[in-house]
Amino acid sequence: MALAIHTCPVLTGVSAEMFEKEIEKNKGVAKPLSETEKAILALVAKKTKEFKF
Amino acid sequence: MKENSYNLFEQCSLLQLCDEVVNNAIPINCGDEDLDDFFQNNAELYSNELLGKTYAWVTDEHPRKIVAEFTVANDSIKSKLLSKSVRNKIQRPIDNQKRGRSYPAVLLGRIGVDVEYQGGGRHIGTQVIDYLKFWFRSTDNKTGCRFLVVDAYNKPHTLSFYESCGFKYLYASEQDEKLFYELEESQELRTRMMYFDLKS
Repeated sequence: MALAIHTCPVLTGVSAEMFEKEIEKNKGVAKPLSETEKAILALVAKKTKEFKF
Repeated sequence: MKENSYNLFEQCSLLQLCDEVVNNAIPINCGDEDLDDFFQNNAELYSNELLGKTYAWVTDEHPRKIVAEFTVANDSIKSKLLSKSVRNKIQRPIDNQKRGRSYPAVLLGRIGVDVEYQGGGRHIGTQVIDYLKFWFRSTDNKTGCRFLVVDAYNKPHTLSFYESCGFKYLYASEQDEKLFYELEESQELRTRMMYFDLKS
């Protein structure tokens, strides 16, 4: 897999319809992170900040 | 989240790839020549050119070892519900929404797990993907980003891995995807574009 810098896929026809249908299913506001997910992000950020070789 | 025999978040630290990491950590060996070559020789160049940022999960234990790496870059998905010829025929009555929508996305350009850490119920790849899902949904994310996009090797085990992580195929069929890449029907489709909706 070569690193595609700008894949920018363009969907038309059936692919566009399927894609739009799928994202219609996820209407509404984005689900907030759970406490577990927040804790993971906080742990990783803390460890990154404190990391020393 | 799956039960893992190795907790990436507790046993490793996430560092942006830089000279310090390259010089002080045992490099990754993904068992894939192309991936290893990219991470060892090209990742920093991409980063310096602002074309993609590579991050490494480095062991907290000594000797420091890169367990997994990934590269991300900005991307977008454009959806056009009507073909150009149809739009040209109708022209004015079509509002902008129906002409086409462009959605912000982040491209997972590369992801690799060291062979020593592959398998064995560790689910390192899944943990990396989970982390990316949290990262880009977080309120700390500085830009809008709706989708994770990956151009996955068109191999059953790779595709099923992304499917297990909730990714879906962007193109309805290989034939559609070949049209996008302007490939002949007889040509091999080496990769499949897949996406994950961060709102799902």
